[in-house]
Amino acid sequence: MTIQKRWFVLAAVAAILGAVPVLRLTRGAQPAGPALDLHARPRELANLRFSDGAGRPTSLAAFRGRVVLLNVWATWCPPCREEMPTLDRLQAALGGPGFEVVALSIDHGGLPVVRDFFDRTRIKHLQPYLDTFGDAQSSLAVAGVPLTLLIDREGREIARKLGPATWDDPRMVQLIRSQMVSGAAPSQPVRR
Amino acid sequence: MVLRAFMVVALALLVAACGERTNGPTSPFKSTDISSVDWGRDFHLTDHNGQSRSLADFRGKVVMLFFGFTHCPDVCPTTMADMARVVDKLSPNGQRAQGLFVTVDPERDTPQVLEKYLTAFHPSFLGLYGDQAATAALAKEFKIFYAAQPAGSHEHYMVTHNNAIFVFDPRGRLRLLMDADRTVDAMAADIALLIKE
Repeated sequence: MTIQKRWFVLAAVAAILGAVPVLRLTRGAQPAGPALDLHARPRELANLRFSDGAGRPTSLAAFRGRVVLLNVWATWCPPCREEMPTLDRLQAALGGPGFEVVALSIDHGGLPVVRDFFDRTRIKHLQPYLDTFGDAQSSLAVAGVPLTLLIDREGREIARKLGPATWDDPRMVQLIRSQMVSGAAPSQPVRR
Repeated sequence: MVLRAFMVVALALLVAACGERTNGPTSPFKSTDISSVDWGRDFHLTDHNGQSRSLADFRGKVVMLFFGFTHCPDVCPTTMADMARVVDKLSPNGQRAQGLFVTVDPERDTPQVLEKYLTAFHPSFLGLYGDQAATAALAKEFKIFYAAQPAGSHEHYMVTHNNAIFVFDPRGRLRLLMDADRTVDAMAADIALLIKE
């Protein structure tokens, strides 16, 4: 095969792979259950920068020492809107010095549209965060939302889910609780 | 028709084996150059404000065209959000890039639904629709495959979706295909090149 021909075949394969369903989903009556499988081992995660409800820049590093459920969402995304109350209840149940739900919006309209949505849907416990720098969309390779990452106390990704879930499901609460109390303390070296 | 058709849309892009590819390692573009294909030439649709639109209406602008539907049941593609970030990045040339969204689900994506959806991404973006025959013809012209399933099939509702964006240069010629591997920076760089041409 000539280099050119080989390149074309490669491009054709890439094009076909690109056409493979990105989203292949089954719709049930309820959002999917707590099926959140932990990765075999924690994955390093870039220090995402974003901004808080006061417009101040912050980043994932500011949450080091706490378990974080990072939910990338947008107000134009129906399944994101549907699961938000379950994230709010999870924050009500577990939020504190050991855990926070970080609901990170990629809305172009910024804080006003997020606050408006929170007000209308009576989201009381979540703080609005915004993907001001586009870090979530670029670093997390977000092809779709909602995308949710469970992040350990050392800032590493330990689970990831594309699509909605019932985040305040008892099994989910138990899983997060176990992460809050167990595992290596932030100062301890990681055993491989 | 007994039941109102419940659109389940399967999009698959068949770009392979169509025409020669011109961007070898020396191409200035990061996206796939599809300049030499003989399809995807034009569209004749209505925008969410009720105005008839074809490619000629956007001469002088780089057009980013995406086929999709607003009722994402489980996961919503971030394609239009990426497009909005590209327009922001191109500032002050952002007004020379036009984001267009063609619904392949015109029954549910009414003009009102499209307007609300598109303006959430960027005030300049337009949602386009046609009747079922026009949508089918356009899908054929752009090598898009989609299928409708009858109502009542929502229990196991399979959605397949392709994130590819078609890019036209300011003279209205189909030039690039931005697929799932794209980054906003690469998209913005390619579109800046086309604006400068």
